[in-house]
Amino acid sequence: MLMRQLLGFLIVIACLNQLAVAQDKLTRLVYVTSLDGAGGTGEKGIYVYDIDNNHKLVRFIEMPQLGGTRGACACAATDKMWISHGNDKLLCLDLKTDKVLWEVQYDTQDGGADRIGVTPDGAKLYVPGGWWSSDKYVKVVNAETGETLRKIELSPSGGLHNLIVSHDGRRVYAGSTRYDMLSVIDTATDEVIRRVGPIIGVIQPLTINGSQTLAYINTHLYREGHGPGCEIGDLSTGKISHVVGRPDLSDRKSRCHGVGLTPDEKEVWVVDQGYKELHVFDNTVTPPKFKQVVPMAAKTHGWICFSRDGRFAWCDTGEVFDAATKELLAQWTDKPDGQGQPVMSSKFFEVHFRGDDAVFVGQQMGVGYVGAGAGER
Amino acid sequence: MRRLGLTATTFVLIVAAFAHATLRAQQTAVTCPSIPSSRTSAADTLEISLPSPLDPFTHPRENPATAAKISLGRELFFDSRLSRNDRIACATCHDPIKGFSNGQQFAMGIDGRPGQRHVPSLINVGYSMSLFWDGRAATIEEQALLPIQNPAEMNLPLNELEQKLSGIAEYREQFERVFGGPPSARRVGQALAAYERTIISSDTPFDVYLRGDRDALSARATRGMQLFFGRARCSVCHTGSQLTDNQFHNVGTADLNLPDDSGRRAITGLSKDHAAFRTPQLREVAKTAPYMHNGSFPTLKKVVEHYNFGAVADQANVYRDEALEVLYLSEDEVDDLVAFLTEGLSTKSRRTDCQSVRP
Repeated sequence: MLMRQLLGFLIVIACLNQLAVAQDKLTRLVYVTSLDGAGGTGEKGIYVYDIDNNHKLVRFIEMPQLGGTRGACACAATDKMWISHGNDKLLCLDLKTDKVLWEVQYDTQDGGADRIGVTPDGAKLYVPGGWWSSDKYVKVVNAETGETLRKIELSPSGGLHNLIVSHDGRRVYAGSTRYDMLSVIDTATDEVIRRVGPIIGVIQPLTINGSQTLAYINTHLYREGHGPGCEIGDLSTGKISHVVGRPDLSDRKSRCHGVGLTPDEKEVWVVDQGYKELHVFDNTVTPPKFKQVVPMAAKTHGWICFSRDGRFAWCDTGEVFDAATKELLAQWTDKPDGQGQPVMSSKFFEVHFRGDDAVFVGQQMGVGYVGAGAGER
Repeated sequence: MRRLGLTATTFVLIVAAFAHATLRAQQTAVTCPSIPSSRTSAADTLEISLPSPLDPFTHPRENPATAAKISLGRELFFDSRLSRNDRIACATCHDPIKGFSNGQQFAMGIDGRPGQRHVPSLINVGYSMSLFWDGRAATIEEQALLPIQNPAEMNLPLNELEQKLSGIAEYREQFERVFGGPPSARRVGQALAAYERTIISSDTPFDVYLRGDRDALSARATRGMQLFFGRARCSVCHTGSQLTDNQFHNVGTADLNLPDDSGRRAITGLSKDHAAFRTPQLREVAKTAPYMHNGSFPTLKKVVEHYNFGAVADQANVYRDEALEVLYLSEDEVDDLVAFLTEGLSTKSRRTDCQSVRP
């Protein structure tokens, strides 16, 4: 009898131990919002993929109210996610429950809502007015309530499009499709403290290194025969220090849309979406030197970023590449078994969970991580 | 007879003008300044390639045009007796003062039956390599007879059409004079086609510009033209002297509130053609509102804005043409493009049928 009680006790202890281990297990997911307002495939909602299970679909959060998605971001500190969509709407989602907590819609005179970013503490959202809008401002929004706190004038002709909130939350780097200068905002004062440029043409996607000394900017390089690539701006001097391109492809007449640094910052990848190619440059030398081309499966809007561990490169074609070998590993699809239709979107990021608690949100803009800390909460 | 003489004279003059135009080079490369930027202008200089002027039009050998045949075709075109209830003529939907469309979202057939597509304009239809939005007819002769028979449009079977026209003395005489025989469906198609091929617009400010007058376009329309053939990528499909590639594209204009329309796919059976529709020519486009195969855009500005956003619709569309991409045009640039489409591609005349007068 005593032996049976002892055995039962041991079994209970073992189960509790297993449960505790399960609760502590890190789950790494990619959140992909759809339908991408810049072109993509998929239904309206959020596709969630398991990074550690060959990027298979875990679930689909159906959101029929979504217009074309313009941006998305999330915060591990508050377990919230935000989506800008339909050009003028911004909504907040609870990452634990998938419930929409609030939604705001902006009047035309207030500008729209393009690619958004959030401070790491989840306090403030930065909302660019939209590449399609002449609105000159980035709105600073209370991330808890959706209330607009203030507007920062950045671009003389509007066109505010992409922005990056730095790892430490102290700076925002904002670009316009109608302005040849990158703007740097101090989030303590919400004032512009520096301009970087002028670049060739106008700013398309951009990224920065982890220590915030350099910006890598997709510009209209083709106008000067540089081929696919990017410009590198010195964030301390405000000057453009290098033009990194493929002069051997000077016959190409379209701008690249997508630039990302591997987390170790040893490579910079550029998306030449019009030609279905990813151009990889060696970033261990100055200026970066072309290394190789990785083919893409589809012609899309163009986007690239990497998993925090540096193993995976995610492209907006829904393709998942091995960042080291450049081999294609997986394709996001709309079915859990990996079959079904490809899902393509340029609005995605990784989120790590322990249990239902978000503990880390990755950089969607291909920002480097050198000197930026582990980032897990 | 006097009217007929004028028609023939005008026709000859137009053909002569076209013949003169063809002596010009096939392609005109023009270096144009692109969108202003605070960067140096040299850095922003783009070369765009403009098409050659519209080719001279020649009627097909299989259906040679005569003044009498064109005149007969015009009379048939405006004659509502080609419908079962004597109320619907070709011109009911293809109204000359509405750019040979009907100004409505959809066609309106016999007994008020609405169609499911916008009425395609007939302007420059003679240049088209296929007819209807889905390209199901290869010739105007073939196309012209289909709405007559269609129960939802004019609802007059061809044997009844032949009987009806044979009972009208004026038509018997005209068919005899033109074809040497009585009215037949085939001859009706030929006459209608001969007339429709005279519906030509070739003297827009853009055409004048192409022929060498660099002042023909306003500054705004000139900027719009540069965008059209450059960064706005319109000329990827609206290409060549006819401003169309005569191909079929899915440009993301499906409307969930309307019945599903598979477009070209219904003709080819190919999934790649799903909801793909023919690229229309664009001369006189300002007169043919609303726009797209389903008339879903009331203004040209809405059309340009649609393409500016990459022709992305609110619903998933795996068939969207991969040539489409977000354009990043500013509001001013959208207005410039619209100015080119309206001012640049329109003649001042309300009517485009240069030779035709409503009987």
